[in-house]
Amino acid sequence: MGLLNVNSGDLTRALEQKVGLSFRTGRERSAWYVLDGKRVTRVTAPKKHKKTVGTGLADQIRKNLKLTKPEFRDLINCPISGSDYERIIRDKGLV
Amino acid sequence: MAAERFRLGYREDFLFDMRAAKRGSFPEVTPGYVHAPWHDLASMERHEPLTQQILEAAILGAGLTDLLSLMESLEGAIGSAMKQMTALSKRVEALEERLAEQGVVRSAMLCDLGHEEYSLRWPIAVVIEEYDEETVARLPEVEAFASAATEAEALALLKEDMIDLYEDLTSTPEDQLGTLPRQWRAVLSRLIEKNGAA
Repeated sequence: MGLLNVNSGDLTRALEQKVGLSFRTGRERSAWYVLDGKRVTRVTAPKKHKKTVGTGLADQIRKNLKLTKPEFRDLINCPISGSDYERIIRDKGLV
Repeated sequence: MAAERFRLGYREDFLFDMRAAKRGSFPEVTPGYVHAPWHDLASMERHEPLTQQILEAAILGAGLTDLLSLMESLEGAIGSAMKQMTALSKRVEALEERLAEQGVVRSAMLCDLGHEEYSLRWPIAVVIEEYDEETVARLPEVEAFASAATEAEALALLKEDMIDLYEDLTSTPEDQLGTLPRQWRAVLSRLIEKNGAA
């Protein structure tokens, strides 16, 4: 369950539509995941001009999201929903 | 004598009386001897002996059975080897993927933030990860990172990311920060100072 060849569009869609992140345009491409009015973690968006996300960048985004590799894959490939992600973060006691 | 000579090349249980056979009577089996005229025997000796053919056929038959059995066991061994090869191939593929994912990890010192407004209180160690297609520079303690084609670019972007994060965290009320962002703010406040601040 690796992080090779993660599609940039799929990852951005998952971050925006499931996790609910809103990336600002411009130089800064990071967004805060807010839960119960508190900033929980900061996630950097993949570069838009690239079709696939680099292995190192994908792994850092996964760490930003506080997900394991299988969870990260599931987030991109659909099994994990936005509410599932919220539960994972709450279970880790990060709020 | 002739019988003796003839006997040398044959097995006893296949010998018979050729003269009796010519007369049409039932061949008399005489273990160890052949009762036949010399010219008949000479004629027989010119051809491949019947018993030899039978013997060879028997040997061939037995050999075929052994060969078939050997082939079956070889087929089994080859099938087993193929399964092992497939399993090994999958493991090698997985290992190659893991190696490609890991990259080369080392540390580098960051001495300055290259910013007019902010500077580092002291040099800090950051992590450099080099992959085939990119280089990642990161400060794990605050989860700041940057990815670029070269190490110099990645370090420059990391400095920008650290400043962005610092400004973002210091301008946000503490009650709006979760556990980790509060810790990051404390760390960055110790590392970064405003230029000209006493």
